[in-house]
Amino acid sequence: MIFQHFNLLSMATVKDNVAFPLRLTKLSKDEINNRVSELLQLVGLTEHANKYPAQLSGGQKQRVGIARALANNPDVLLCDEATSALDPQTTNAILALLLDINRKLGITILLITHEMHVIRSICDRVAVIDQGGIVEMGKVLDVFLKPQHRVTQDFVEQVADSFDARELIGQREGRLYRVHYVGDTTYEPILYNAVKTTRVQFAILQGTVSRMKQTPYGQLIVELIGDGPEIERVIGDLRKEGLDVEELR
Amino acid sequence: MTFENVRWNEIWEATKDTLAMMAWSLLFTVILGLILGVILFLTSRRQLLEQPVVYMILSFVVNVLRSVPFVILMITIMPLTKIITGTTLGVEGSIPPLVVAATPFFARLVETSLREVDRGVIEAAQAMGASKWDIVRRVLLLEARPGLLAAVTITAVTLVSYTAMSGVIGGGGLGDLALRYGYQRFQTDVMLVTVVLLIVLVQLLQSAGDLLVRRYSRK
Repeated sequence: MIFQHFNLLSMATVKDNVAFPLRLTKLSKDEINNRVSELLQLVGLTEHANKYPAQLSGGQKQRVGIARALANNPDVLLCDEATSALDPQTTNAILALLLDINRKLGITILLITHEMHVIRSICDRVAVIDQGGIVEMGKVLDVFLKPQHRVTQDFVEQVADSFDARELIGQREGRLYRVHYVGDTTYEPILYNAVKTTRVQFAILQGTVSRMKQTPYGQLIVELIGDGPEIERVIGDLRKEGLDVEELR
Repeated sequence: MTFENVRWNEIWEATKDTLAMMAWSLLFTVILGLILGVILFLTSRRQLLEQPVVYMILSFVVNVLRSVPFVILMITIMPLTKIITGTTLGVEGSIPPLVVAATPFFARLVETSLREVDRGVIEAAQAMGASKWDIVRRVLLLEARPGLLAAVTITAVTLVSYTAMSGVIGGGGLGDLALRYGYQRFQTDVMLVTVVLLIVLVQLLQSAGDLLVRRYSRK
């Protein structure tokens, strides 16, 4: 388990902090020393082994926390707001380390956070907890792109810097659609291809094109202007390409 | 001033007595007080062994012992002193009352120092599967070390002033000398020498304590 405020022994060196959980087991001194240097290497703190926590930066302290948590080869690494006390650059460095550990050691990481970009950058699945109960759960992409619960929608809006697109309904002459796309189609000129043989025009009113972990995705609010049947054809073509199109009313 | 009344070999003997009384009583006080202080801390509210009744009783006993003036305490426990050391006089006779008086005092200081330990660190140790004994030994006593060293220093200084009082019941030492010669025979020079020696002793103890605290501070 790793903690928001690190919770390291202030009177023990980096080395001794990492050795703490090992000393609770029956390992010999040599085994402990070997495991400690292995762990310090993993988190990149080898040269700080003999320093005390007060001599380290926040990011380094959290690395000690991570090394300590991994010492006894856990199946699951619990991170309780592990990056909430860190600045953005340090947060990213720690997240990169966690992702690296997740891949190298195959440890499941359970991360508790209120920082949406933390979830977007390293998580595979997400559960939203409100009032002590899980209100929504699923793959990060699904939850972020189509939040179902009010709480989730509030959270997602924080990062998407989206305003409520429904405000636009009635102010515009055309029909409004929300278009989602994920994966390789993100970088294809699908929208243009769909309209080029028709007289339909489109305007992008709002949009995000970004990545979650490694997966590119896009989410646009488009206005389509033209004849009803032609618009239907465009929508059909978009859906054929695997895009998710939803009319806003 | 001529210091005509000062017999230096007697002063030397008295100094050795004071040091012996202080050192032995400090040793026993630290051992007993550390145990009592840890128990006080652990049984207090929202701690590892929360036991309101035990805490209340211990706390009450500590308060009672701390309320009784040392001179009175010393005389009151004379029968107990006799059982433990076989005498109520001299260096040996003054160690039990010194320990009985200083232990509750030191225990409270220990309790306070342990309270200063970050709860998060205890929580982390629990998360790593540490037993309560592991937490006491490897977390609490380690993290509270500067505070505990400061508490030992304060207790040592307090014990020096207590040893001076044990002169009243024939405890020996510099206090006894000051009382018998300085006070009862109006030999101001003896009084002065003993007081100066006590001041030097306290200064040395405090400086040594401060040095240790600084040596072990990591924050």
